[in-house]
This record gives sequence, C-alpha cells and structure tokens, in this order.
Amino acid sequence: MFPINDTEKNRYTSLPFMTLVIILVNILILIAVGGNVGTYYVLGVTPSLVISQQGGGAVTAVTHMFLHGGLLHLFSNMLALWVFGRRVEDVCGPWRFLAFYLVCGFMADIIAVITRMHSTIPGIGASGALYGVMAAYLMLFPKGRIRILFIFWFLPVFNMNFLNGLWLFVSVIFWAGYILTADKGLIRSALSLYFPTIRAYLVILFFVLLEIPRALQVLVFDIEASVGHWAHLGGFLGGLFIFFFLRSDAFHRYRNELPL
Amino acid sequence: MSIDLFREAVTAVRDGRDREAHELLQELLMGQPRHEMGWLWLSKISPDIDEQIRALETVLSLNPGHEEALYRLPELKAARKQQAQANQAELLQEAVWAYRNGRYHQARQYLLQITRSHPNHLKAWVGLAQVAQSPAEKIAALEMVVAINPRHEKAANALQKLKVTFDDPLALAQAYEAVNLTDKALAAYQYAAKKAPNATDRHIAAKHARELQAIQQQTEQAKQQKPAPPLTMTSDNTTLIRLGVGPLIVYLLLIFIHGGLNPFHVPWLAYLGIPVVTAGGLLLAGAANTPHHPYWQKIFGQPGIPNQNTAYALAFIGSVIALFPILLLLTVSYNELILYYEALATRMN
Repeated sequence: MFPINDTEKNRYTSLPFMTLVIILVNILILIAVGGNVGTYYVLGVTPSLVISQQGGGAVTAVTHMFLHGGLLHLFSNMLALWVFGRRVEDVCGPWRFLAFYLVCGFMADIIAVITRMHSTIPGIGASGALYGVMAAYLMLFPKGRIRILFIFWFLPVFNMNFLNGLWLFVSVIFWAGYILTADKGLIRSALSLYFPTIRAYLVILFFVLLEIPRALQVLVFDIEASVGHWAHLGGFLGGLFIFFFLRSDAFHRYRNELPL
Repeated sequence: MSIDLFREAVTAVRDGRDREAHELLQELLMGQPRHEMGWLWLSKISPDIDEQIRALETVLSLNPGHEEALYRLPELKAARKQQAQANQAELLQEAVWAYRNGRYHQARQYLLQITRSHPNHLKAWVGLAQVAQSPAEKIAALEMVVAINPRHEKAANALQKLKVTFDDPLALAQAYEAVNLTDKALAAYQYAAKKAPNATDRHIAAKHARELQAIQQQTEQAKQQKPAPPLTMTSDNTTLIRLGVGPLIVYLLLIFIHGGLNPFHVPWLAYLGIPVVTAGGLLLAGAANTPHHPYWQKIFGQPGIPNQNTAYALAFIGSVIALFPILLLLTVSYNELILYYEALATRMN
C-alpha cells in the first residue's frame, strides 16, 4: 500500500505554501549533497554523539530531517508529505505547520536516540516528521479519502520471512476487505484495486501498526535496522501528543454544539 | 488559523461575498467559540434575523458591556417582532385578495401558513372556514374560531348546523390533520378507528392514528433528549499559552537534545533562553490572534490589538524575540559540530 494522493480538497487555501517549500528544500539539499556519505555522518543524527554531547546534537536535529539517502528515499517521503501535509497545513497555517513539522522531527529524533543510544550510524530522513503529520491527519480528517497504489502487496512473496509474511497477510486482509466492502460491485472494485480510494485512518493505521513489530524487533534483538522504525513511532507519538494536548479545539469540528 | 479565517471572512464581506463570509465565520466560531469579533461580524452579515440575535447575545455573554451589541440587540428584537407581524399581515392581505378573486385554493394556502405559525390567529381561522375544501375542514376551522372566541355567535351557530348533518369521523380526522391540529387529529382518528361506519374507514383511521402517534412520540423524544453538553471552553490563560507555546516547545526540545537528552547537562545559559522564547511566543500569539485574557484587555483595552499595523509590528518583534535564543543555540551547536569534525580530521591525519 502506497499513498499517492489526497482526494479531498483544501478548505481555506489553494496553495500549500509550506509543504511545497519543505519539498523544494529537501530536493535542493539532495542535489547539493549528491549522495556524499560523509555529509550524512556530519549532518545526520548519530545517537552515540548526541548522548556524549559531541557533534552538535541540536543542529543535526534540524538538518537530519532534510537529508535523504537517495532518490527513492526522497520520493517516498516527499510524496507522503504531499499527500498528508496539504490539508494539515491548510488547517494550521504555514508557520504553525512548519513548527509542528519540526517538533515532530525532534520527537522522532529523541525517541530514535533513546532506543539506539550506542549506535554510530547516523539517522537521516523526513519520515519521523512525516509520521507526525500523519498523526495530525488522523486526528483531523480520519475519514478523508486517500488514493493509494496497491501494487506492492505481493512483493514480499519473493523474499519470504516472518515479517514479510505478516506484511503479506495484513495486505491480503486489507485487499479482501476492500473488495468485499466496496459499494460498486466486485468486478469494478477489483479493477480499481490498484488505485483504490480508502479512508485515511485505514492507511495511517496500516503504516503505524506495521511499524510496531519491526520497532520491537529492533529493541528486543538489538538489530541495526536500515529504517528508523522508532523514529517513525516517535514522530507519530509526537504528533498525537501535540494534537491531544495543545490543539484540543481541533476536535470541535466533530461536535455540533454551537448555537449556529 | 483563526486570524487567517477571520481575515478571509472580513475580506469576503468587503468583496460582497456574504454567503462565503457567513460559512467562514461559522467555521471560525466552531473552533473559537470565544471569538467576540467573529460573533459580531456574524450578527452583521447573517441573513437570518434569529441568528443575528443569537450572535449578539453571545457577544454580550462574552463581553457584557459591549456597547454596539447592547445598542443593536433591542433594535433587532423589535425588528423581529415587527417582521413577524408584517409577515402575518401581508399573508392575510394576500389571502383576502386571492379570496376576492375566486382563488380559494391559494387563499387557503396563505391562511394555513398563518395558522401554522400563529395557531390562535382568529381572522385566519375565520377565513379558513370560508375557503375550507370540505365540510369536515370547515368544522375544524369553526371549532378553532369558537375555541379562540367563545362569543363568536356566527361561528357557533354554523358549527352547530354543520354537526347535525355531519357524520364522518374519518373525514373530520383528516381535516384536523390537514389544518395542522395534530392532537385533535389523533383523537379523531382513534375515535374513527372504533366508531367509523365501515371496516375500510376503521382500518384507514387506525393506520393514520398509529402513524400520527409515532410522529408525536418521536417529537416528544426529541424534546426530552438531553441537550448536547455545552462546549467546554478553554480558559483565557490556557488559550493564550496554547497559542504562544510553539516556539517554547521547539526550544525546549532543542536544548534537551543539545544536552545529550539529559536536562542536567544542558548549559545554564540555555535555560536563560526559556523566558525569552516564552515572552516572544506570547507576544507573537497575542499580536497574531485575538486574545481575551483580562491582562491583555487591561493593557490594550480590548481583545487583540486595536491597530493592524501595530499588530504586524508586535508580531514581528515577538518573532525576533522568540527566534533569537533558538538561532543562538543552533549557531553554538553548529560551532561544536565543526570543532568536533575538525578535531576528528586532525586526529585521523
């Protein structure tokens, strides 16, 4: 499952200014860095250096979320930002969205460092902040409709292990559930299967729930994963935290209690 | 968010896009029910006089001394009363005109509209008795005339004459329903279900009685349902803090990371930045929004900033104050980063 577009319209602004700026900055930085591994070590968040207060923890907390390891890494993150970021920015306004994005990135950074204190491998990428944005989207528009690409569901077949099996199992359940519950008939829904539009909470929870066993695997078996699963969960929890405690008024839109 | 929405709404009003402005204000007030200016603008652009009155009442509940609201509310209430009376008089005039021109059906429609909103409107019931579609409807209308004015001899006599010859309980029940006398219609249907002369009528009456009863029960249930719990409003303190806390959270997280995730390892100078960032954040929030905090109102004499240019200037100063410690921390951190890698390079060489 791969989110490719948000089918709902923005309500207040037509141009997602800050989302576009963040995407542009990320692209420019990837072009400037040009795959130089040394830069990742200098500007990425290296947990052991952060804990030992060496290597400018504060500045790398900002820089790491604008660094990407390659085109595919950048593309997947920026596509997710484009899908989920637009409407969240629409609600918050561009500057508050930027602050929210950064805070989620910092939370992701903190959780990632806490869970891999002795690691010397730098963490880079916007995915922690993105999971925060996804949490905000989940809070604000759980029933928004996200168009997804469902073509990857069978890929784990080629490299079968426990986690890929779990991925495959969950994907098939979603797939079957989608066909059986779609209201446009089995054949049409099966044809539109590769680009279905499904509820945002299903997409977001799918990604978050898949992160949990992987993150636990990293923690329990002390594995150096190439993906920052704890950073993802940290960003998501950061986003939830902010929206639960700081933006409780965002929930008023679900309640019709005003004398209007 | 709120300031953008409010500005958009005001711009929409100035551009003559009242409907859009109305929607924007409703959205704004759903998120910020204490937005006094929002309620005031809503009271000005709403096409519905009832909503205008509700909006002004809300303004007064937020700010009991609001001069404009105090001045406009009695005027609006008087206007609503006049409007209702004018509507009634207008409808009655239309009905008379239709009746004189032989358009009885049209006249009946006008009169039904009046009796629906004003069930004790004597003239309307008298008129309805004149243009009734059936003897049953005439009986229903005359009964109402007599109920409202028991001394109305003409009506009483006509009713008596009609009742002598009339014996169709189902038709009477249907007439009651047609003129919106639901309680009477239900009783009449129940009576007809037992006493109607033939089985078909009894069956129809029973069916209608059941349907009416169900509708009445639903209405009663809706009335008895507990009203939705009141919107829990955030206190003035919490609102201002919530709006201005963003830069502080950014700063706190950064110094926490800078201190190696140990608050005791954070340089003490960095802690001095906390009040500075807090002050900047609060100033920025106060200038960019419309806080109702009593202290704020004490200083500025009203919620928010009176002058737009002053608001921009204060927002700018607030941003600079809030950003200064953050940028200072990042600069210090960047220097440490450079020093660390220079030392590393030296060691490796």
